Amino acid sequence: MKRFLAKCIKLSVLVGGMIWLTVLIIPQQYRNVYTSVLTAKYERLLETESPKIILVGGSSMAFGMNSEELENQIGMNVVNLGMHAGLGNRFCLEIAKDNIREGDVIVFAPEYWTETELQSELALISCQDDWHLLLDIPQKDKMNVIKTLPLYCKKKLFMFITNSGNSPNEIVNEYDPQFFNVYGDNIYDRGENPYSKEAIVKEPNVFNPDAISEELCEYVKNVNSYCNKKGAKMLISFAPVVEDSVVYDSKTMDVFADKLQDALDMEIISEPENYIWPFEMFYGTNFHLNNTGVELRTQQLITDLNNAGY
Amino acid sequence: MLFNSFKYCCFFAAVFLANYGVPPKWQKYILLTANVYFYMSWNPVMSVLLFGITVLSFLVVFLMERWEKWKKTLLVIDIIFSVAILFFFKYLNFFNEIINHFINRWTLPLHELRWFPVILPIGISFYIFQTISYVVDVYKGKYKAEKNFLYYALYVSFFPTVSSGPIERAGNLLPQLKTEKKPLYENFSYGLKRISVGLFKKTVIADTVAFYVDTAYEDIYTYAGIPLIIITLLYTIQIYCDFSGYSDIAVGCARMLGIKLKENFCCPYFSSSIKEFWRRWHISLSSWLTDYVYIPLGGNRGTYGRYLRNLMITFLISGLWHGANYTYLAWGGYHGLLLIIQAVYARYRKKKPEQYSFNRWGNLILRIVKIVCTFIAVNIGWIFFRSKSVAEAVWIIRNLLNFSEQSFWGVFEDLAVSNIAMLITPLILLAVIEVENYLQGDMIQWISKKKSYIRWAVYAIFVFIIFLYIPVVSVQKQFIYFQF
Repeated sequence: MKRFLAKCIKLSVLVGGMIWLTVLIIPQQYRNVYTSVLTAKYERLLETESPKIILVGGSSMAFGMNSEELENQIGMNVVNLGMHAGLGNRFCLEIAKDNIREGDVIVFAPEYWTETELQSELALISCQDDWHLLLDIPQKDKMNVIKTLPLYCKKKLFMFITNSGNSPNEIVNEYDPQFFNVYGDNIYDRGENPYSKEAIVKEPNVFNPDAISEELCEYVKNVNSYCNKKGAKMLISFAPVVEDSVVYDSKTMDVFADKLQDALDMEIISEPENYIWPFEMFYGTNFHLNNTGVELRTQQLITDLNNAGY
Repeated sequence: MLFNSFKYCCFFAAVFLANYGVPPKWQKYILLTANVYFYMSWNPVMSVLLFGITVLSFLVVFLMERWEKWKKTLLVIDIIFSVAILFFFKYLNFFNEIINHFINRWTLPLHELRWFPVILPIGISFYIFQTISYVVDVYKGKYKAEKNFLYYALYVSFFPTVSSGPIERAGNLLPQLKTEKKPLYENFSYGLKRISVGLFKKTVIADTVAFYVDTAYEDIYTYAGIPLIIITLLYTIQIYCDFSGYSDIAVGCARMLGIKLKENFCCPYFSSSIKEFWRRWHISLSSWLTDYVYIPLGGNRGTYGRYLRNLMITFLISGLWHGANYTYLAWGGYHGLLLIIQAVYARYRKKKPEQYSFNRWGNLILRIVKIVCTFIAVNIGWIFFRSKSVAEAVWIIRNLLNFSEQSFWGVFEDLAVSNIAMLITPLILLAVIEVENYLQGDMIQWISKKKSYIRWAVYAIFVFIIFLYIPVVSVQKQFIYFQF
């Protein structure tokens, strides 16, 4: 039995070595995926001097902000940590929290106030150059990420063998990583919305008082307390959304704002109504803005921050 | 609890450690507990049925030895009862469907038979066949009745075989269950290697291929020509890897517990005739059908016509055993027909042997041609097996060579190079394993004789490949033969 167990251990070590080789030694194969910009955003977060504004949210933040303008108007450095909503609401917030310094301000503006599921493969792809970022993945999602490791390794290995990874995207669009600037904003020239108005889908979870996750609010509150302890601040804003996709009237939205305020017990600097905009301001999805929308959103956030004393 | 699940992995590790951790005289209780837990993990209620069948066959044999003159009656009772149970759970709704079909077709003044919501108990076809073989063998005096119910229960419910075979004979399994097992490195090592081969076949190949096959079959009427041929070939690979993978895991697990099971597969796709194919494919079922259906029907004794009839009946039963559907019946009938053709041809050849004498190379080429032809014939058979209806199967067969309408590549459309590599690499590895198995007898033993660094490199790469193909979702794909 001892001999058998010893050989099992030997085999496990060998296989473990191969997994290690695949994950860490084989060159990255996903440089053409937009979430690969997380590394650059993270580096900026580390390098940018405080006091700074850290923008956290889903892709609406990445595809809807002119950070340079914000920086000029507010007079603080800006880091746009907005990433794919598939990374969940907590992941990027946790990264921001771990690197918060005195005087910093986190502006958190998620698309949904629900506990969004973390897409494990996306998380692995996003962290390909900074594996320690995986430590910021919420506890509940860690097991799923581990389960996805074989799939990630398989795809990476076969892309490497067939030399098909990192190839330039056949269709160059706003999702190409080359279109992200040093702040982390998407700068692809986004003019008229390429999608028709008929393609708009309803968003029942946006501004829905019943969809507010108590767990998420509790988590955000904890981050806020942590920030306060560090001499930093956390502010809540909203993601802009196409008006045709909103299913609630202003009364329900007021209930939503009140409920959120009660659940968070912290400063909400924006009003939901100010972030519901016509279709013409958007590009591609219900949350991504075009050039005009970006300027409008930036100005709106500047106004909200000014009103909050910044 | 599927063999390819994490739950089973933990279960087996616990059984393995407990089996060798307790004093040898307690091993049987550990195994029985494991069997009960394993079967109850599927459906606790259905374990009552397994228990009932076990008790019935044990009692029948027990009484057979005491009431000599009632021996035959008891045998008949056991067989009728066992077959009736199998019929009720597996074929009742199919039978009702047939009756209803005739009622509607001939507008008979009868009520339609209703559909019964019966759940098919896991492994019922396997363990019922196993108990029948035991009762018949004792009746024939092949071996004496087992006196200890515990051992007999272990034989019927042995967890590596209970859900999908191999259909073990009491003569092989029972004596092994009675012996105390020593922890032998050779058994552990060989068992683990067989489990790895099984997991490779199931997880790496069958489940990967299943994606393409299942997707294509959802929309099969849009395919024609080469894509349809590829799908057919892939299903041929899938069913083999799925079932032989299961058998490998069963053999490996049993071996790790100190029990040698009969082999269920022996490179079936290298068969040079359909007859040989059935000596290499699902060997435990083929031999069961030979011993308990074909031979009692008269086998090849009697007139030539009776011999051909017996072949056809045996294969129709084989088809029906696989499932209550016309497609399985057609599949069985198709194989029966091929065997009849082969038998007629063999008879003709016997009369004119001089026409077929070749030199060494000629024989080799002839054998390769035969293997290819048999493979193609088997492939066509699998179309019946996989199709939703006989009409669908016939449509597929008719369109296999329809290259004029072949423009739709469906599931194979726009496949990335890396995805093609993910599909093809394991298939190449499988081909290597199968060729080695065919030429060397047993690849595991062959590799064991290689130099240490080669051996370990092969093991590590092999396990690493299995790791790469572990599915993300926790719901593993069920083994195809579980439905039988």
